[in-house]
Amino acid sequence: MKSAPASSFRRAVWQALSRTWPTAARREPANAQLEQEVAEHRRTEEALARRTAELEEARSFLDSVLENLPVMLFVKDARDLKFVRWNRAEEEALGIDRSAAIGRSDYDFFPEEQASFFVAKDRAVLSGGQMVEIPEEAIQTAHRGLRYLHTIKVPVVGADGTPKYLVGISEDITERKRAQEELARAREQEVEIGFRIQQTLLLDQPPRDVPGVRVAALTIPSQRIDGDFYDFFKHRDDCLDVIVGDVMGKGIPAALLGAATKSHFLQALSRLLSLAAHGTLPEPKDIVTLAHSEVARQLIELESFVTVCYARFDLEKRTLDFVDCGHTATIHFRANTGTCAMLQGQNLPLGVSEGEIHEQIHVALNWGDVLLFYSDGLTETRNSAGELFGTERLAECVRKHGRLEPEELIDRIRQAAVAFSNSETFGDDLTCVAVRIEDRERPAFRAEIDVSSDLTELARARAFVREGCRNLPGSALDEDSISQLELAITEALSNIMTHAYRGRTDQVIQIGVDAFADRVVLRLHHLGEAFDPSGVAAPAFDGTQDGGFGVYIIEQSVDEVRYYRDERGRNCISMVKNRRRPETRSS
Amino acid sequence: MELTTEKVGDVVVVILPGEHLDASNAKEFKRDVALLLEPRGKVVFDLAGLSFVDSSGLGAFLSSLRQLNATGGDLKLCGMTKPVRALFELVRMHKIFEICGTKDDAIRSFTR
Repeated sequence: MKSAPASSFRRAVWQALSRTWPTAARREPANAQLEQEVAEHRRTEEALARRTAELEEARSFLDSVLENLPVMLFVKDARDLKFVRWNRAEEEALGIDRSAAIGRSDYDFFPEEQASFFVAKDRAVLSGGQMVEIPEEAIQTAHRGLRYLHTIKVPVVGADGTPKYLVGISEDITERKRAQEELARAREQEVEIGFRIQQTLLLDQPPRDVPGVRVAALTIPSQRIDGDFYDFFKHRDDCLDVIVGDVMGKGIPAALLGAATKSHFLQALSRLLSLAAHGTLPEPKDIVTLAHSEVARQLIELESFVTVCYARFDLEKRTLDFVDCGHTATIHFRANTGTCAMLQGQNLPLGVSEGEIHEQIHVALNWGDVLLFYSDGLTETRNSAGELFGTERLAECVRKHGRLEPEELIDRIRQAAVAFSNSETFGDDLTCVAVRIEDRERPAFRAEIDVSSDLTELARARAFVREGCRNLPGSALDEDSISQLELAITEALSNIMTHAYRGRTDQVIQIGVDAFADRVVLRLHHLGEAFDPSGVAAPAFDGTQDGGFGVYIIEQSVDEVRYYRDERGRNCISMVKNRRRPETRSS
Repeated sequence: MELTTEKVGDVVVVILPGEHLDASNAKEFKRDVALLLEPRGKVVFDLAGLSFVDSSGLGAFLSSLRQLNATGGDLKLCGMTKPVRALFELVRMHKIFEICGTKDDAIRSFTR
């Protein structure tokens, strides 16, 4: 059975043929010629029917392909941008039935803003006569919320060269986009965790109150931390150990290895200390050897290694004993000659081979000498031409600024690295520790008291400072300076009591007074919350505010104030008042 | 806090008790002196007995000054010892308060 052809053209042909050439049923007796013509006509008719069936089949095949494509496909009429085709994937993805879509435009079912976006793209495709790719477009769906599509729009041009249709093919990339966002968030989180490990486990505050040495440290974390670490151990008042290390690799694994290595050093030190004869210190090489024996196997198994420099400063004898295990060369600025020497040992990094025997190097130091420890992140900083910052440039920087305060020196180094690389951020962590050997003088007078964290103790604290300063050996501190110290200690103490201890009155604050020939130093130690003076706004001097003067008053009353955490984990405030007529300092 | 006052004409003189006004007693002073400050009051704080004032004490003075100024009154300070004067200068409060030498100077300055 063949049905009547659908297209009007074919229908017209069919009808014309039917009329002119009667079918066999109403055939009349005829001559041979007519018979022949009829047969010919029948053949034509059959051929046409076959062709029609073929076309039908091809069309339904294409329909079926378009319908079942796993991507969304629509066709719009170029004249009015109304949908003329809408496949099943469109129906499913957008929750809009073809019956609702065909003959309508975007404005009929998408929010105004989205519809305008789609239509603007359509116009661009049609006027440009070229395919346009839209990597990401937002679309509000009926049941699945906001989805993101990757869409390609193609113009279909008629025989006359004008666009007839616009074909759109879209892929739902919402899941992919979410996965990418998830991944980016996870990466961000890794950086954040790494940064926290670094700040809490890898880097220590340099000690501030070891007489005879001044230490400053700097870290500029990179996007991915790389396990640089440093640590300081103060032995009595005359010995300071500095450990700096760098773990191979990056990210959280490197940070954790750094933290583990660091804790092995602390463990090795305390074990050897407990075994050492009273009053003697274990040698750096023994500490390194013990720590190495603990970590070597693990590092080898993890196929990682750690470069370390363990340096001990004896401030009484003014010497440095250090064990260098493959770390960057330590720069020794010699104050008396103004030159730099590179100190480097022969030991292998930790984790290269087990059973390593560590060599120790001994160096004599003088006042004003500076030792600079750093990670290769600093020397391997590159400029735009790809050159390394290098040890030479670093040593030159130290030679030039070696007489500045260590904090200042380190800042100059940072500036130099930033200027060289023309960037505030670095590919590797940049760590740097500067140690300056200073005149080691003992205070001529020292006194300490404990007060409780009760505001009623303020008067007693002032009396302690006043009495101490009036009875200094040699000459008393002048009365104006004493008044200023009384003011400073009152402000600092009431800050500690009200803020650091939050008004608890049963806590202890230790007050110390050290008097030197040229200055008096007040130190307050407490276990309350640390105070960050940089977060305090400048006071108002116009009488509109009752408070907020404390920090300002302290700064104005003394010559130097420092807030830091000491080696026992106590928060400290030290305030220095220079004496008016400095006597010549004995050396 | 026991506050001694003295009335000379329409001027009220408050004599600061104790030798210090700091974080341990400034709150109490601020609270108690506020009760003595009347609208449009002419008030003098006599600081002759005070050898020490900290930022909390200063805050109490500022609070009293603002309370009086808000009602058309005024506050003058007198009898400052050297360390107290030094604190006022340190935070530039000598420009905010009218500071007189003696109690009599302060009382006279109200009748001028």
